[in-house]
Amino acid sequence: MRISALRYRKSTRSLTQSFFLLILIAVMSSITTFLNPAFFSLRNWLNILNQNAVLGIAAAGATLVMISGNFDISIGSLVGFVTTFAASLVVKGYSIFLAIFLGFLMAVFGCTLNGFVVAVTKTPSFIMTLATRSIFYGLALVVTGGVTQSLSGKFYLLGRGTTLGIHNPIFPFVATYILLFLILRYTRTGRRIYAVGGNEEAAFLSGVNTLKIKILVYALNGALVGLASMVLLSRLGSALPSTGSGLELRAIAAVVIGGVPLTGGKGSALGTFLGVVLMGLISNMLNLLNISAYYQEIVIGLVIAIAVIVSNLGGMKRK
Amino acid sequence: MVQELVLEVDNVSKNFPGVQALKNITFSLYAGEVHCIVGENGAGKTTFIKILSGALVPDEGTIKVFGKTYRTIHPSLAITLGIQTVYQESVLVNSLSVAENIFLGHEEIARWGLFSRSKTMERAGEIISRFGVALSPGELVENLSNAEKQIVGILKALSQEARVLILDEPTAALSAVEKATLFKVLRQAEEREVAIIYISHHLEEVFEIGDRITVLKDGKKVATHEVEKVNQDTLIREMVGRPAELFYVRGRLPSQERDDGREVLEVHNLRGVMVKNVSFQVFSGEIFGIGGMVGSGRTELLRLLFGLDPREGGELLLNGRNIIPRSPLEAIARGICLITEDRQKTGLILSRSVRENTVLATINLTRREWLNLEIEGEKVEKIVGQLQIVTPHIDQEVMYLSGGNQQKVVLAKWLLTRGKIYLFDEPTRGIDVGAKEEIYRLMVKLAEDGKFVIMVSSDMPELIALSDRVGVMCDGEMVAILNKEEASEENILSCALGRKMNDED
Repeated sequence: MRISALRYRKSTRSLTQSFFLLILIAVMSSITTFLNPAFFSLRNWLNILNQNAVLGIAAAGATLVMISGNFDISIGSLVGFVTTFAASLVVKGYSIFLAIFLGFLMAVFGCTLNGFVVAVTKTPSFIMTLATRSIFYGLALVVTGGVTQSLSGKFYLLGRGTTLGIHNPIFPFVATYILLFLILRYTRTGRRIYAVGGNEEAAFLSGVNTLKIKILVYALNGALVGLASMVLLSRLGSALPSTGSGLELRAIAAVVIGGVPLTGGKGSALGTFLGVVLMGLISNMLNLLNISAYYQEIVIGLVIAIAVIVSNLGGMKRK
Repeated sequence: MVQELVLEVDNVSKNFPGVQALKNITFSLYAGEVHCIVGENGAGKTTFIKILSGALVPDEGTIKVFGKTYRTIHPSLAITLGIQTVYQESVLVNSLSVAENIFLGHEEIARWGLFSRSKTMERAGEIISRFGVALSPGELVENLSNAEKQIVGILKALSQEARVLILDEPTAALSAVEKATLFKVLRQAEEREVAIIYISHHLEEVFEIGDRITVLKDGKKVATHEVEKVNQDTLIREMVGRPAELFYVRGRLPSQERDDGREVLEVHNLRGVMVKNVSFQVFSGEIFGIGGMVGSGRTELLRLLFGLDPREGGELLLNGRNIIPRSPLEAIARGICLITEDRQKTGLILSRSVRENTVLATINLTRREWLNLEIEGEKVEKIVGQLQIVTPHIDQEVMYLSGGNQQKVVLAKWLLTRGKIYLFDEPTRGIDVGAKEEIYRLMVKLAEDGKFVIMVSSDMPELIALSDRVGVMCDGEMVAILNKEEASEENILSCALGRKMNDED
């Protein structure tokens, strides 16, 4: 009887996914460096981070939502709405700070609304955010009347400025991941997010306020969408309803590559970060190797497929 | 009248890891008879019908259907042979009509060509009226009551030319009137030479509908009786009685007297879902067992005490102060712990580590947002050591632990909350013998430390050996509270089957 109690397997923690990604990144980097030495320079790495800052910040939010076992596919259109809304305020002559503040608030509000309905009515989050995705896009159209909202050169520092030679978007990007790491690893909120995603009923029976956690997760996601929107708006200098379109799918892809299963309950800040870097790396690599941008989508698709298959195989071994 | 022998089971055995679920079962079934199977929870009834319906493969023995011998029966063969099973929760498609459900999945009926709505309705109407049921073929199944769904399930089985109909606890969720309708349908089927295997916890029912009764006990057949030649007492006697060496021997405290100033926990007139006016007292240092058949409201009683289900009335008094919780969080804050029946589904976050699972309840009791992983680790290591949880390290995901160790992680979680009241629901289900003993020892230790331990168990030896007193539930009521001396398997079972104590024979 003791023997059966001793029957366990070696730990396969989410670290293995990060490890796998690191190796993949190392291999791809070496090959690219060999073909084009310009790849392995600090400048190029900073470029990669800079170019993927918006995706990275949004993916951090998606990590929280997906670890809790939910989805938010409305964030692309929400970015469209938030950026056009803020830009239209500037066009109307309001101060840039007010515009940023209200835009940020809108993002938090929009996502919290998603979370509230999902948590209270138990509507599947995929369906709910499919609905709000359309609503946010419609709002963006209403706000702009379909016309590009230009900031006329204001508010460029966050998106296009540099500090000590480092592109400014890298700061909020890295800060977001430090925050995400701390939340997931060192706070009880993080624990509860994992618990809700891992087994909502067991979490509830252990005294976790699952309703509150779900709403909180979406609110945090909203804050990160707001931040991503502002970085993007500042970088572009203008906004259209289609600004940010497709961001939700790339964010989900990065999160999945980073090792969060679609059912939630697992994942890490490091995993998603590496997922984002990997996706950025692929575009960068193909650019440096002079491969047409058309192929990039195909390669990214393949990487997503491989990442998911690998993590599924890991899951299958357990059974 | 010479009846046709429909089904003959010869020497069938089935083993599960660690348990022999069925041992050399021999069983016969004639056309047009209702053959009831009775036995305690875990006697092997469900395993037996699963073998007949092809859901499980027997390890030994043969099954003879209409004179032809089979080693194993797989589900589609069972259906071809005319063996139809209606499970407790009938598998119907809610969004389809009664008629569509009846004919779902057996296309030989649609010999008119394509799916014809009118023909389906017509044929369904015929079947419904043949069995004299008040059902409309066009009604959507989602609008039906449980009883009606049950009947649709049976009609569906009968419409496929069923020769053998297996019913598992068909009346579990039915009212008296609904039961009467169900029996009417069954009698109709009987007249049509359908052989029926009927599993039930309710002995009155068995006597009302059955022709023969087979008693199972620990996976073995005890006897088969003609219904006229047997009475309830004989059946109950046959259902109980077990070799004594399986019992866990509990070391008893020297001072087990009631009135030495021990604390009292009082459940007073508690009412809620499936719980009707339950009252009882538990003393600190005592293990209070709750027996009863599956579906008698035992789990629901624990859920009420843990603040899970809406309460219609009643109190939980600790030393006279009402502490009935309104939510699990409130329950935990008031020192109440619920160790649920299905640890994988409701007790653990399988994808998370021993560490995280162990502290999951405790982190909700403080206001500290930041975790100190070092102190937490020491705390977890300590309890893992105390409970002798076998894990390579505390950051191992609990899905890789054995059942017994998983259950100990659940216990560790609750021990860390320093609760006062421990509610156990089937604490050792699916746990191997060695780990069982350890869980028992922990439960006894809790009692010795002056906690209140309330345990629901379907495992009779466990219930009797571990409990100081046993409350028995039947149909949502606590029909008896037996003290140590009275708590025999026979007494518990007769109370659980709805016979009042002290009844005349």
